[in-house]
Amino acid sequence: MSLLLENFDFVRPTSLEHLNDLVKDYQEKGHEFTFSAGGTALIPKLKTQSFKIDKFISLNGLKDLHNVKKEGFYITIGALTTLSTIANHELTRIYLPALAHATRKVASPQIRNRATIGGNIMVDNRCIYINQSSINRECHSPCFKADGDVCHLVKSARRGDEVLCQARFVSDTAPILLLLNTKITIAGPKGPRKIKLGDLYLNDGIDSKSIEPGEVITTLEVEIPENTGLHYEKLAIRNALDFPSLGVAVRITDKDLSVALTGVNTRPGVFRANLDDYNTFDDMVSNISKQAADFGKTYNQDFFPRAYRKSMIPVFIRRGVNSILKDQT
Amino acid sequence: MNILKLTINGVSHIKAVPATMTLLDFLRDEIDLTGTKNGCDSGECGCCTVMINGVPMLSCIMLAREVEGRVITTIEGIAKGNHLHPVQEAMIEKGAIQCGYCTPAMVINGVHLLENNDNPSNDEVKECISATVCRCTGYNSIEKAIHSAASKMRKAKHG
Repeated sequence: MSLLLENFDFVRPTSLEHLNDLVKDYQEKGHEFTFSAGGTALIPKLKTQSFKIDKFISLNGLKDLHNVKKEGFYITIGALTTLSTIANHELTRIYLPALAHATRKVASPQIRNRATIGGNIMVDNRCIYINQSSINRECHSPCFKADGDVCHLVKSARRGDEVLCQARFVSDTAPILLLLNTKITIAGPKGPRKIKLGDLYLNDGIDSKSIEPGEVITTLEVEIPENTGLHYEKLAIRNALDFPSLGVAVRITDKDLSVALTGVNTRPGVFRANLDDYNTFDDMVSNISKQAADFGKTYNQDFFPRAYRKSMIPVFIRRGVNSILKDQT
Repeated sequence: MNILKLTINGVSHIKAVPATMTLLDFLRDEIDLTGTKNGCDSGECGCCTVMINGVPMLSCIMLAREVEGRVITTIEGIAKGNHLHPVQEAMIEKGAIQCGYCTPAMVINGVHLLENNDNPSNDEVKECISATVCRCTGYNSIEKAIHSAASKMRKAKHG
């Protein structure tokens, strides 16, 4: 017998209009609902009963959102495109090889066959104290993310203080997408809107995305880079499955160096530098490494010790830079 | 309760299922196909791998209602009658089965790999079984079995 899921209704809308109607109806009636794209991160969370819902809205009926297309200088990707489709698609392999590489780093082959790019950039922040079985969680006092009033990472924090939940952001694809200046289209009860991917992320580990309840991401618009080297490297104990303990993406275009981080803070971090502002290339790399390491406010919320994760940030940046320079020569 | 229609190993099924039932529980408890195993129940061990429309996915972290209308292949559908699939034969020959708990998932992953690529590299074989945990064999014999099945399939195809 398996872990039991708490009772809920299953609905699968077939169009965005149908979805909006459902959401309006549920909001009026006060139902708790959640969207599921691939569900590979959501269903384990429902099984451990870290939150409860009345309505499970599967997005897989929205057929128009499974596609990869080239439109001018952009590749547009439907939010429900699976990660293995992106990893193997002709267009991403030609125009966005770094994205194809990063998608291949997400979880395991079976999960990539199911999980979607929209789900991956929307993945809920994780913490070693909340992503546990309900029995394990009952042994601690409930933390902020479990509607409690302590944080096991920032011991002095109490609910109502300025300290926010420190659950970390763990998407593998977001760093590369951020460096490719991705824009996302969001559909919802108030109509569609387009925002920069970077504006999606907030500082709080609980309320970590700026998306409103009832809104869904429909498409990603990714810039095709020119004369650019990109590199993504991930630190994880079990590479075939784990969320990143640290992920670093590096981009070099002419004199510009940019770095994006995942796994070490409540949101992804992006740092940019231009060679004209520095005496030497090495100065620029060490300066950006320092900024990135400062941003990585790691806590002991992972199986790697915090000092190790933090000290790996400059190492990964250096490796990324070296690998790009090697490819360019 | 809702009515679910799907095809499992070539047989159509119409069954009532609760919204909260996972595909794994549906296969094991409702259809009595107990070849697919339940390991961690949270998508980490890979034991529950089945093919959905020919693509391996984890049945423990998927609701049965999600696979409405799809074609499912479980380990019971891999052999044709008494004729084992080359991957299954090779698993036996190379001693790649010990306790057997991961075997259904290993076979499903191996079959999917070889159906799309009958000359896989070492890395491709490793990647294909990377998400399925085996605590007995140490994986080497499983890798050997998949390579051996690949060469058998190549011979059968190209003579």
